[in-house]
Amino acid sequence: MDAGGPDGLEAIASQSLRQVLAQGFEQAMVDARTGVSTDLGIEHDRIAVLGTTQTRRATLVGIVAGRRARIDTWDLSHEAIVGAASALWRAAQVAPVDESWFVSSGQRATVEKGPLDADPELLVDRATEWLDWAAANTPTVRIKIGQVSHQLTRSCCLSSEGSEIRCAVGALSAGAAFNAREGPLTSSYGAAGGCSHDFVGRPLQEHFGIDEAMRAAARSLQPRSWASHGLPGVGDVLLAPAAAAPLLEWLLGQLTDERLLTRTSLFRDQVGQQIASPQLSLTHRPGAPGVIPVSADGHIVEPLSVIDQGRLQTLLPSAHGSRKTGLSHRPIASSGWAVAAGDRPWCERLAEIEHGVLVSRLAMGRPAANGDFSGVAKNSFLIRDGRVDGALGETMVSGNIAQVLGSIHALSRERLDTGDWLLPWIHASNVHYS
Amino acid sequence: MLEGAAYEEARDHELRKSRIVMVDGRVLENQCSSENGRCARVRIGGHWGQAAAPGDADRATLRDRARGHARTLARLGPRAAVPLPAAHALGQFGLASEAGLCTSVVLDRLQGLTARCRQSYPALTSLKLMAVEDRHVKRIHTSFGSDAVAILHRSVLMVTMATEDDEGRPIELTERVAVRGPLADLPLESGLFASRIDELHGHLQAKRHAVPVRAGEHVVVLAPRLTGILAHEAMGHPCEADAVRGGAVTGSLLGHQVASDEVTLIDVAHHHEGQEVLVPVYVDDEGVPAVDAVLIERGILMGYMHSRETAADMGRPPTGNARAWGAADAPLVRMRNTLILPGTRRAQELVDEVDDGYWLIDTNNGEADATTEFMFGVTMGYEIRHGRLGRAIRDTTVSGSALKVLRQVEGVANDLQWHSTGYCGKRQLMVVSEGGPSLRTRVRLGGR
Repeated sequence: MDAGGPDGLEAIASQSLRQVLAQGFEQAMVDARTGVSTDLGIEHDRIAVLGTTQTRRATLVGIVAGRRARIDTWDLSHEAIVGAASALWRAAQVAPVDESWFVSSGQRATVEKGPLDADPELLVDRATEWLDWAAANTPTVRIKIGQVSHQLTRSCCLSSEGSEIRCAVGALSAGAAFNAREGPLTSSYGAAGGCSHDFVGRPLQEHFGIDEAMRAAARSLQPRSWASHGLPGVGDVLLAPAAAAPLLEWLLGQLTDERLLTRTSLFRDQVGQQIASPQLSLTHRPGAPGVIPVSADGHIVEPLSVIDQGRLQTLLPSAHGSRKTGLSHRPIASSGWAVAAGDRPWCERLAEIEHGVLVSRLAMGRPAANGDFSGVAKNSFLIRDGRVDGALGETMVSGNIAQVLGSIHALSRERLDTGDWLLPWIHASNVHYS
Repeated sequence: MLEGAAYEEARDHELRKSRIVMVDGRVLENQCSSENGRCARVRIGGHWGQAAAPGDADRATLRDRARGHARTLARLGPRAAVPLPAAHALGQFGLASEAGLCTSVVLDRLQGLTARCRQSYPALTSLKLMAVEDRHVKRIHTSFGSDAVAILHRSVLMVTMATEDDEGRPIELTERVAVRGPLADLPLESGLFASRIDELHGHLQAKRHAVPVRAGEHVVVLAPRLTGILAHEAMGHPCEADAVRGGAVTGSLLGHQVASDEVTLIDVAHHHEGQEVLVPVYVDDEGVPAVDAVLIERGILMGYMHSRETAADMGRPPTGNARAWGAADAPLVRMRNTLILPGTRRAQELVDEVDDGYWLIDTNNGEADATTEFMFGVTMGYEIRHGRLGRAIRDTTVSGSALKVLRQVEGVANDLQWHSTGYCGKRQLMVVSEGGPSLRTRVRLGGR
């Protein structure tokens, strides 16, 4: 059976659902999907490889007498699906009983978004323009590795409880890791990238903050440490979007299943309360480029306010997590988040900082459950008396994320959209430097 | 028909994975997956084309598609292309065991472990167990005559205990154990594993009263797991030949003293001291026989890890370090089993001689940089005062220049341990292992 088109996918999902139910399962769900990507690889400032990848997969879920199992298989032939359904039944028989399991019910949607067709010539042209721009404008910066791609994912999710969700999501993406070099001097690696619905209207390097990140690397060839400036050990921080994202991801982790079920969330009982500065508003945007607006457990995802002016609006348990905890179910996609913009440009925010750091990127260990973090500021800059005063190296940034989010003074008017995140620059305080 | 100086490679790649997550005895995830893909890669005139598809795709069609992609890039102009080295491997390598996936035995053992922990440590907020198994079977053919099957099979169990600190905030610690082979081979019933779990609980109790690290540069004794990640992050990544081509400062240091003469760093292919290591690589994904890569010998930078292409560019023999995670991934220069050789000191001596410093025990991730500045997170450690262990410390981050840190090594112990519990994340996931003994040096720590 050809899974390449929407009709083939629908037939495979439908046939698979029948096979799973025929085993004796009380509830079942099948998600069949195909992917096609066209990838242009850049290595050492040159286009090095053009590749295409086709993938396919079916996920089978079955529940019987509170016992649940899941199997993913690449082989969508009739014989393979029959075999997978049989293996699913055997796996469920040895699973422990948990009455909280159920499959999605009554979810119906058809989603089509983004460019569905790849144009390799367009990818080559955009990448060539980007490399030409880099050679002319950031000549000391070397792109170690980069990629310009088109991806198309088609999926069909059917459940025994009447869910039918069909998606075709296309996206263009670009990204790179790079550093500056001049004689014996070398900057830290910088990185930028993201997903978009089109590369029309502005050059590729103006997407996802690629140009700014490459310029930051070029300005970071002769850094000095924070300690060498003789400044106090505590100061303000202006977090560029790439540096803010991991801190906000820690916050999201606090609101989802793992932290809720292990009772290690700081915010488990804080819905309706102020958990961050009134400047911070965080929303889920499943319509973002590249985001498939369906949760991992087969629920349609709608835009959602998570934090409104610092006040926690909701936790984000899955359907199963909701039943285990008694909290309201809030389906979310695998990515697609936005922080509301402020009202002034980030350079004006910078002018208000007496001493601090403009952090382009944080290299750090995974933040602790309690929010403690420390990391190395990469391709970042000292701010003194309201202006950028040289590149920083060997500078550690430490604090507690919950406290940093509570100390946000302001957000910038500009926001950077990478698909995964739509983020402004964030000005906060009480960060430790060493 | 192959064109001049062309190279072709075909890889059939099956990846079977199993993942079980259990929290307080309840199974949150129990899933198995299988991926089977086919990848053709072609190099014509210095340009690469690649095509990948599910495992029943026609090989000739994929090869022709990859050739077409390489020719598409030819419109960008000719590219200097040094002929690739023609090393080749024949035969089957690695464990032939079947994956023991989705077995009730594994679930029963995890339930048993949960019950034992619950009985021994009743005050835990939660106990999370995560068991993960990966099994790769790759069939590699190349135009240089390679015809090899490589099997790699690893299973890992992570035990995460959570409780609250003095201020009522959540804290947690994780212990990990890995084996070559299926989940059923994890030694969950062994006395050694029981003692590691007991040790984990002891550290967690100490961490309840943990204090912030004093920010700045300190003398530290790194436990073997930390030395392993130091080997991987600090000098392993900068010695990957693609990083060297990309401008890593190691490019100008070949033959120079880059570490204390107590430091010897090797990327082991498959055996060390007669024992098969945790991630044995006998043939890489370009069909090249894998050999040990000696990176630093008694402090002198001796060489790099290579793919066919980096070896050709640098005029060196390939080392068998080109590895791909999935069927659709192109092989990249990756580490295999990176090892700092043990010394002769006892680990306790290294601690006894510290007047003011830290003993760092466990880590959760790390990152390398072109500048040789590295960092890794530290999840468990203690103060050292006048040669004695003091208070536990809160989570922190270690950073430093690899060259400076390795030159300041002033003691290497004899307590070599191997670990292989996570994945390296350089563009693709990759199973690797790290080995090392306790080691004393100076690093920067983040804190207050």
